[in-house]
Amino acid sequence: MSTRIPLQINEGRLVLKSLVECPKIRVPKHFMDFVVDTGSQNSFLSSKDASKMQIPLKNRPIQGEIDFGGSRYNQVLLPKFKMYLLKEDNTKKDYITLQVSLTALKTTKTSEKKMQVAYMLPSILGMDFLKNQKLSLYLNLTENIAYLQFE
Amino acid sequence: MSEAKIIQTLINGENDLNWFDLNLNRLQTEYNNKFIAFQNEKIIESDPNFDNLMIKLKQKKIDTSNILVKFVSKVKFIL
Repeated sequence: MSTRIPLQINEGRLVLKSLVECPKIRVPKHFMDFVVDTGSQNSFLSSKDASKMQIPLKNRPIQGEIDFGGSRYNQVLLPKFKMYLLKEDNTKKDYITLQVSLTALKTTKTSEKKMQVAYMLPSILGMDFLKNQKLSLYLNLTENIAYLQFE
Repeated sequence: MSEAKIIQTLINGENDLNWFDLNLNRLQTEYNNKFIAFQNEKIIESDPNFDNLMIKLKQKKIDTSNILVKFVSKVKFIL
């Protein structure tokens, strides 16, 4: 059977739990959760998670702008992250590692209110993640089952 | 970090997220419109302002690598 990565269905959202690190910018392993969003073309590290991981976004190259959650953000380019994910296995606990491309979201607004709203947004794994990692998504809301599976 | 430690950190984080989901109704009442930091099924700090929350955690010298931070609100947030 192909390796499966379990997803949690949380308030109608698909949540992937992971440890991530980025040695190139001296970010040690952090536990974080991503929302798997098939409505998003790209994957993002939220302002909240970037700040919690103390990733310095100033002076880093900007890929472009994006509208998300009703506000505009700069997409800050980051080196690839290493992601650790628990595998679905009933007999023993084990994990896999992936190399993942993420850009960080940095709000273009300076008002305090807009900045706080930016911190409310979750980190997102979009369609690029599924495509690049060659993962298929299985979802059955009736049975409350969701997982990613390598093709 | 050893393989066993990586697995344990992932399991602990998963347990904390499950705890958050199970207690969401209570948390929405107690911490409405606040950011909360939690770990090991306990609230460590809270604040309506995310930057202030991070300052509080720093002042307490808390390692943020394995804590979870969520915004709690009775109002649903649509992406």
